[in-house]
Amino acid sequence: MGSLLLDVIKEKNIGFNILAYVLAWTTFAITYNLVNLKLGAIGGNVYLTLLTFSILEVSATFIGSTIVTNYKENLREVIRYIMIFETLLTAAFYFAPFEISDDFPKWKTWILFFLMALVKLGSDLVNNLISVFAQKIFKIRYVKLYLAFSRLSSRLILFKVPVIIIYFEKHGLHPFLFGTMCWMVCSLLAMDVKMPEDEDVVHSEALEKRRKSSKDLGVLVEGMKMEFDNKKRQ
Amino acid sequence: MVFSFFSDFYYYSTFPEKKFIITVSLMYGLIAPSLIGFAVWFKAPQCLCQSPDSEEYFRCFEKDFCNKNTDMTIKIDEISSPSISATLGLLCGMKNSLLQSYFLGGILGCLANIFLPIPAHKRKLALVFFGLIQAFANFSVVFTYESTRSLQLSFAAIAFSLMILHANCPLIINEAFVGDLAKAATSVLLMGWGVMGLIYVIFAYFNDADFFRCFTFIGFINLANSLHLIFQNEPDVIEQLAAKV
Repeated sequence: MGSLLLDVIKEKNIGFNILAYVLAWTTFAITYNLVNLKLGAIGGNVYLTLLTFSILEVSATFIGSTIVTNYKENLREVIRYIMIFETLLTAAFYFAPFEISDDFPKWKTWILFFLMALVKLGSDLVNNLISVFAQKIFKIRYVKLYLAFSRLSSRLILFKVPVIIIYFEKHGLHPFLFGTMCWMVCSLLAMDVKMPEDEDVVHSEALEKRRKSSKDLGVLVEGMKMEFDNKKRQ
Repeated sequence: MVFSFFSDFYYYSTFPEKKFIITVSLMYGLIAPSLIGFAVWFKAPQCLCQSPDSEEYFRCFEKDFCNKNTDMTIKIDEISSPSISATLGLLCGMKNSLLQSYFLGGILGCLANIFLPIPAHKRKLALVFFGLIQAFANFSVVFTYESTRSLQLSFAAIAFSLMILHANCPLIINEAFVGDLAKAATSVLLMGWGVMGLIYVIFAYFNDADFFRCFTFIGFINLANSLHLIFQNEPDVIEQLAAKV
């Protein structure tokens, strides 16, 4: 793993990609936990919440598959748009109450539940797209590094989520501000993620040049040979 | 179009590859209950408190009782919905110690992922090994629930193996396949997570979160799955560094 880390430091693009998407995974975990900790099971039914979340996880796979089929070339943009969408959704929770009391209108509860579901769906989608395209984004030998670090960072920061909630509430801020900030940073970082296409532009140009020059050289050599042969015949 | 990953998975893979992908997906999916199941297992039960002066019980919250240093006694109301907390009477410190051991196991698993990388050609064996740990940890929750120490160890073992499987199942799929098959296999893997979560929630709902049945069921499937994986052919690891999806 040490040598891998050193390689990552040398390959700046891959290092940046890993950093950006490790943060995305961590934010995904933070948002999920924030929603769960702050709002709990809306309506008091754990099973309904878990069932909805599981259904969303399955549907995220299908939506992810559709995106992969249709928007394969603009994957970076698609992930970025989903992240911006997540930022807005998390910001929408500013209007949610801190504690849901019994006299809270039922239709508002359902709107909150719908928002929660959308946040979960968006996070799942980002996570699925990164997992499916891991080979492409990180190159195969760095997938291990990404997976290991994303799990560690999300676990470590998850420990801090209750502390963060208390800290934000103490200063009169909504705890979802933290989630929004993280998604905002993620969407900014996602703009600069390097995909193999970006490198291919350089690579293919260089390759084409080399091929062309070798072709030219070949033609030259062939011409010289022909000339030599002709001279010999004469 | 939507089901393209199914058709890719069906047409581009050989029969042993299909078996391998499905087994690994099942193994990946089986760790979903260990994560999402938390909400069900440790659901706060309805509590009754009794002050030392009177013999009457009154309704109180576990959270409030744990925060105060009072001489009151607390007991779980029979009408509270079933969970590990309610069945085993895990409240306050006991519950926290279990949660702490679970998170400690998780952190150790994450660190093991980074500092003890599994060699590329031994990943299948590692999956089998950690699958078996997961299975026995699930069984041990059922059989040794009376001792808090053993429960702590079991939860730590579940979290430890969970984190390693969580990183290594997608890794083995990512390394063994390239192109459309890699995409399709990863999608099947991710779908396994959602589907197993669904099955778990439905199972828990109809069994009133009976953790004896839940843990035994998960343990048995894990055991069978791990043993089945021993006889699977591990696809060759693709050494191309710049392999493209």
